[in-house]
Amino acid sequence: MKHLNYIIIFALTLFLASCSNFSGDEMRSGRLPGIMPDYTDVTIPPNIAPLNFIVKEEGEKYKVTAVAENGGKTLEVISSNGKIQFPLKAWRKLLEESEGNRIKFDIKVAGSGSSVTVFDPFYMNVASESVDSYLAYRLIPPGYYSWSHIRIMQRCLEDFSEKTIVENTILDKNCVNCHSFARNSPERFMVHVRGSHGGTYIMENGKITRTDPKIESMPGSATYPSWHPGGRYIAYSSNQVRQSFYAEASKSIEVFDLEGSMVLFDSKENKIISIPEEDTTRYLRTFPGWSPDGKYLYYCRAVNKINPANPDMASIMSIHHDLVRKSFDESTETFGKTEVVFAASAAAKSVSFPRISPDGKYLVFTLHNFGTFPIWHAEADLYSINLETLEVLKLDLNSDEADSYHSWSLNGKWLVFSSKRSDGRSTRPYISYISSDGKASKPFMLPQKDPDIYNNMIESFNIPEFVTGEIQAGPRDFVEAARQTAIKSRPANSADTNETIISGRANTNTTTQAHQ
Amino acid sequence: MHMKKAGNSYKPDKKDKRDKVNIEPLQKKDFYILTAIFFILSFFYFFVPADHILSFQEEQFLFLFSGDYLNGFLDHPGGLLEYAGRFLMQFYSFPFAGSLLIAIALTLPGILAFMILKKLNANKALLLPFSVMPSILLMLMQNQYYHYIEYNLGFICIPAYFLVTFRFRKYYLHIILFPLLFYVAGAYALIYACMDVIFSIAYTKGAQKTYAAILPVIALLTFIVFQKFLFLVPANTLFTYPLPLVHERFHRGFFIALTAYTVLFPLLIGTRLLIDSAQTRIRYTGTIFAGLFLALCALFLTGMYDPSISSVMHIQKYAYKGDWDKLIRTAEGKNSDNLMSQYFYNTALSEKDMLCEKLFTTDQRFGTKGLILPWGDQYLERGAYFFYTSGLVNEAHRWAYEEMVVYGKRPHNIQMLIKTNILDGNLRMAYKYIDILKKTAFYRDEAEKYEKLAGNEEAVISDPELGPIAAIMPEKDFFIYMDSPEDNLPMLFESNPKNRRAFEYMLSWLLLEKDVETVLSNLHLFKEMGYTSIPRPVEEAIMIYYDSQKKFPDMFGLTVSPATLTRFRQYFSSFVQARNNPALLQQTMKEKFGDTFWYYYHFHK
Repeated sequence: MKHLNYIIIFALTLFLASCSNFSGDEMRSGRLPGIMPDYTDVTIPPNIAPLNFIVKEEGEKYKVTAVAENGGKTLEVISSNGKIQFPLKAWRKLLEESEGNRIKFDIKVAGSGSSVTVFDPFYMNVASESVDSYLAYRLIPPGYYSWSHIRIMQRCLEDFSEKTIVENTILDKNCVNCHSFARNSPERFMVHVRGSHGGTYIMENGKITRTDPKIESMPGSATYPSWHPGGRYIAYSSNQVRQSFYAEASKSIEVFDLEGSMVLFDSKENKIISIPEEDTTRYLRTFPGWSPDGKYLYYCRAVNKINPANPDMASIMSIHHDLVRKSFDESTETFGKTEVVFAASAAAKSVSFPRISPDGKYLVFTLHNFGTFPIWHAEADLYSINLETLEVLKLDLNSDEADSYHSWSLNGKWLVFSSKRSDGRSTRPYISYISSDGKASKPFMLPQKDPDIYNNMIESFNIPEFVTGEIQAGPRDFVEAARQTAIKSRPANSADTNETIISGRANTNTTTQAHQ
Repeated sequence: MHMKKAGNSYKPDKKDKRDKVNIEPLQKKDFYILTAIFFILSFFYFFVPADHILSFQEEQFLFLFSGDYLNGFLDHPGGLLEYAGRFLMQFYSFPFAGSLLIAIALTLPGILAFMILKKLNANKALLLPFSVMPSILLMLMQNQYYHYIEYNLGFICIPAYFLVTFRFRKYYLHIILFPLLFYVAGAYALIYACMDVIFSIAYTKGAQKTYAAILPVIALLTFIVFQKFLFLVPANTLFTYPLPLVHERFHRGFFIALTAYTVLFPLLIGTRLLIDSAQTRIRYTGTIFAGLFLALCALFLTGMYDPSISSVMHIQKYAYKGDWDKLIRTAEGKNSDNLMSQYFYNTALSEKDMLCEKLFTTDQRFGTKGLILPWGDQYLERGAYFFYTSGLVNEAHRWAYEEMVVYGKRPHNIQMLIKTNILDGNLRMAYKYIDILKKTAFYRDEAEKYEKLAGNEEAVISDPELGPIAAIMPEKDFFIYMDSPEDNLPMLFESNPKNRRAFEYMLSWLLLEKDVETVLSNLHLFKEMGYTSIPRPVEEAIMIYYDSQKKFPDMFGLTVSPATLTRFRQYFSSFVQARNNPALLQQTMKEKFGDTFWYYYHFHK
């Protein structure tokens, strides 16, 4: 009986505490509430995990009411510290009812007395098109030379579950880097590993194979990848990457290529096919990206003005990559002539990361002042080019900080990209809805169960890539694969020399093939 | 075998019972006295002569009161032990509390060993010496500055686990709870398993002997399950983590001895020595042996104590705390022959704007290496300070950041990251690091101090530490020379003519390189940079030129002071006199002129 009394008193206290704070005099603030991350007026997919946030307003109690604007489900969350975390099931129901419509968020903040501040409501637009259910990214401190713990993760976008695909602590601290998926498939992807277990690990048919897509004549390892839609070929740039550090406070690092060439890796035959250029100019070529039909290979190309013996600041700042493309004939494994798609150099700008929408209509790229590593360029922004009209559009998703590496969802309605807008140093994934006319909506930061995580996290989310399902391979599969001897590649054309690969100048045989 | 099994406890036979009645109370008393002596000795040792070990270890980790921080320890076996160690090490900020904790952690294994030996009715003559042995070995290991308290906790876990499971008299508890022990204590559980197997083989009978076979199987299964399914830890790490694998000869020897002692401990219980029968002498024999071990330990510690290590660690602590006056006093008092001491001393001189003037106050035996540390893992935690004091804030930030990536968050690297981000104007990152400091127990004041500075330009300019750095930061951009950091110095004062520190670093570099010609070619800059007099070592370089050319170089309106002219004459005549005795030449000159560039120029090799 005594216990029952205690329970009743406790329950009553809780009830009164929860009600009374918001029963005082309401005062309208006449403005939107400060929330972190900024999820006001964003467009979200109907299958996204709850967009938890922190109310950045002074107060003792916080009440958020989310209402499906079409008059359906209402969701209410009360918090004592401003951290708003929506229950997953109720959130899903809310999204389901709001598909193609809006959710209205009312926020009330109770102060220490009886005052309650009511903020202007904000909205989230719920699109009808789903986003790919997974996102893969690398977690790494955005550092310079040293690394310690590197992980490539997969995160379910429909909830908050996160799993490790591969991490370097069980691979003798090797550097684990670029990951790339064939048409967003969880069943066909590749990961580069540098170090004692070095190689390119390719997952296909439920098996990971350790390969070494490098031939002697390539200037560096296989670097930036792009899967041919057919799944057999991977176009790689092969770069000699260097970095220099700025003395002046506003900038940190410049990463640049001393050499950069393009090759095509045939994963079936383990051979390297050179990708020729037609003239004798010394080019830096990088960032391959296939058209969805596999008939064109887009990439970035700049005239190389860097003296490898003395890569000074002026010459590095004079590197401007144009967006170019080459036709590809899969039956003969040959490339056509280079066509300039967007001459950024004419405007003293540089293009990086051409990524074409799955319908082949738009190509989104990063535009920055010079060079080849936009993530350290605060001015880097995302642009799209309509491949039918060649009209270039600056997307409405950019910020004052670097906005860079991006990838498309398989349905072409969502674009995920890296942005440093939150703290100027660590990249975070942002997702934006792309309308049928190629316009981007205000992006939203990848939601987290604990929205405070971004405030504490020093690691960057590197190379965010949409994946259509859960990747079945895990770290131990990579350890297993590391025991394999890497399959060496061979040149498709034995006449390929260092000169032909680096410069892209074709040897006689290749030229004949390319011009056929 | 003199012990027999009864249930799960070991009861002595009649003879042993007599021993117990006659001797145990006296041995207990002796044990308490010895334990108290050991405790006081270890407390005093780490509080006074070896206090540098505490300050060094305190700087290695930053304990955070946060779920994320704890999570980082939960994802691998042994992590909790490590977490407990890090928790305790934060108290090393206070030498009294730190010494007390270490003394407790070192004394406990001995007490536990005594309890086990008593419980198992070990040979009385060996009771005391065997009890003090683990504490003594740990004490000797603790003398190594990379021996953290978590290692002591590991060696506490083993006897504690044995004692607890033994007390419940359920032998199967050892086995059932083994995976938990492995998770908490990591590889120490494997040491325990070895010990337990030997115990079972030697002292259990009948069905219980099968436990001797079961535990290795359970240990192996636990190992496999942990490695293959539960934790992303390589097998070799799982096998050794978090054991004290310090790469130092003595430490390794003591560790092997302690591990062997722990594993073979059960065999020691029943050991009978020749002295066994002499009952009345047992107490004294045991006490004498135990006392002897303690004396040997003290002797070892005295022999192993290296005052130069103590000195360099104190100097490093002052550098991390920005206590430059104390650093200079310590370095000048000890005249350490350690590269790090020299480097931090030069940094302190620069911070006090007297690098050039006092360059040869200590003997600069490392030459230019004592000015700037080369890029590399070896110097990662210290190299930032040169760049910071010379105004190359971006590079100081890079070093501190790289250190954080490689070695984790430490008090000094987080503070360096805060300062450099404030100076660079990247306030969002500065606040992020300030938040990290706020999650500590003993660095909150620093966090508040930096929070007040962040974004307040006036406060930064008037701040005694950040203000001078803000004034000398580069105003024009250039790529930092990583392989030859000294090449940044001219770039620094060219991009900001107010940067006298970079100028003095450059002159110091040239003086230490004995490049008199280039020093003199920069004389015009003294006037341009607002000097009203020439620093003494540069005057001395001018006198070397004068001595060879019989004329002064153009000093652009400045002059060599009369004191230097006089001292040069004295140097010259002393040199002429002393050279008749080449064996004493250097010593004589050093005594009189060891603080001059002339001495460095003529005698430094």
